[in-house]
Amino acid sequence: MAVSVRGLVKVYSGGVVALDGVDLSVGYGEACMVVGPNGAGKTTLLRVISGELRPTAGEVSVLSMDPFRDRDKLLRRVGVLPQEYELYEDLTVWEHIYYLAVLKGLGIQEARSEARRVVELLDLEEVKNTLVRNLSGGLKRRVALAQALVGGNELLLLDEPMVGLDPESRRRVTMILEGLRREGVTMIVTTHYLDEIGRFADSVVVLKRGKVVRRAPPDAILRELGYTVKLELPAGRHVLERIPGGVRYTVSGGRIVLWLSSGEELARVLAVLDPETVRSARIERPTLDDAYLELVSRV
Amino acid sequence: MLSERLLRVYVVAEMYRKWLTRRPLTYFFVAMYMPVSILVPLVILAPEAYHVDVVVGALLFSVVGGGIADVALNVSYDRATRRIAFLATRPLEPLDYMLGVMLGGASYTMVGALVVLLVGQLVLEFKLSIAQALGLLALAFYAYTISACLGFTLALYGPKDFRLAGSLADILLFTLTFIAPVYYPIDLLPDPLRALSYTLYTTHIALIGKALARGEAIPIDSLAITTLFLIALLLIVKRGLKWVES
Repeated sequence: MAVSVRGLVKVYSGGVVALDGVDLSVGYGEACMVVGPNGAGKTTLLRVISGELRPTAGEVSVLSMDPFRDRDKLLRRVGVLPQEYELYEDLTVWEHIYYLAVLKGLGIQEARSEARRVVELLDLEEVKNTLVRNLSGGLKRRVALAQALVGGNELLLLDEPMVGLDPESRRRVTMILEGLRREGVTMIVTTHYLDEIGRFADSVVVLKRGKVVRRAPPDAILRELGYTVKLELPAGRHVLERIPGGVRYTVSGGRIVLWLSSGEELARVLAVLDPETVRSARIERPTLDDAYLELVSRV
Repeated sequence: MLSERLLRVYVVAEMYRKWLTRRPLTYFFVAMYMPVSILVPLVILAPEAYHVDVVVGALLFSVVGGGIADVALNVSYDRATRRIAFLATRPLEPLDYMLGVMLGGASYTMVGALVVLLVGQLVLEFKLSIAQALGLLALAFYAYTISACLGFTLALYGPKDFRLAGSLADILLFTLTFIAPVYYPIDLLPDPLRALSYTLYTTHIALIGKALARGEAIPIDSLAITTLFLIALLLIVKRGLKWVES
């Protein structure tokens, strides 16, 4: 296993329990997405795995090493994107990435070529001589991500890599991570952008109040919703009266939402609706966001 | 490997040097204007016999200030804003970080010390030999190192709010240069204050500096006391400076 965590407990001073007996195994080359509400323990989990935070109890093994005892060796092979940070605002983008590449243990030439590679990868070429303090929030996030990607890491620990990025950047980052996943890089990614990371994740781990409440592949999580199509109609007695028996639906905010288990069921509902009274309808596939919200509300 | 570690210390020093060199006006103030603005009024006011005290005082104020206030602010800022996370997740020893931050600060603080010496030499009647000038610069670096350790101590054990840590560093700086006979001979201090001043490392540094500038024998007891200060502070910093949080 690339990452193995057993019975992990972290209690902060003041008695706040951030992790409450977490077990987690991530195989080599696997992409694991960790989701959960704010305060669920996602960041604490990543900080323990990266060797930044000592757990109160439990065992951690990362790339077959102890992240606290073998820190120096391990951190040469692991890239970390913290969730909260401030960049070195008085460095240029290039300096920021290059200096942190040297501090990763790379030689000068190797650090230069790695910095060039990630500058290109994250489309930072145009701003590479700009001071970090003059960048927008989204570009700063890309610089932070770039420093995590330098050095040909075997394991990436990315805490909220999509936060603050515009849709185009999110798509680009998703593609980069997807590519790294294909190259066999192991990654643990915490995120609230489930559908983007879910495109390439092998497993979704749902944390709630410091406990793992569910772990499954994204498809299985979706299937657990019990529906594959969501049909949204304007609310009205004439619509409600025509919904076939056995179909699950909810009414709120002037809309009726029907949760349908198959395309056939959708066809059956559409057939009985009166086109004169139903002037608009929206058909959607459920997303991982829907599945996550449903799951978190249940446990 | 030594060469790798030296490279890392150099890189950290570069990262912490550039905050000032990228702000030319602030650089001018810290490295030139402030040291000279302390030196000139004191030279005008003080009788000629005290000019050595004034020059050594201005020299020490600039390096003690750079050491305590600048390092305390940088390190507490790193902790408060989690900027430190980028270094803590790299194979970098805390000692390398410490040396890098100190060297980064020294690269501009020592310019201030040099400016004080140059202005002193140009304006004042007493002249230093090259050996004396180099000795004073070495002493300034020594004083900077002790002060930087004090700045680290304050940032590591003091308040998490970096602004408060900065204010405390300023209070400490003024205490260390006001109660200690940095600008004036120790004999001018009233007895109770003199006894107190001997507990401050700045007093002993000033005594060494003045002896150097006057071509007198260096007080060995002052050298020993400041060395003890340095060792004690290094141990305190080493104990508190860890990447892994508990």
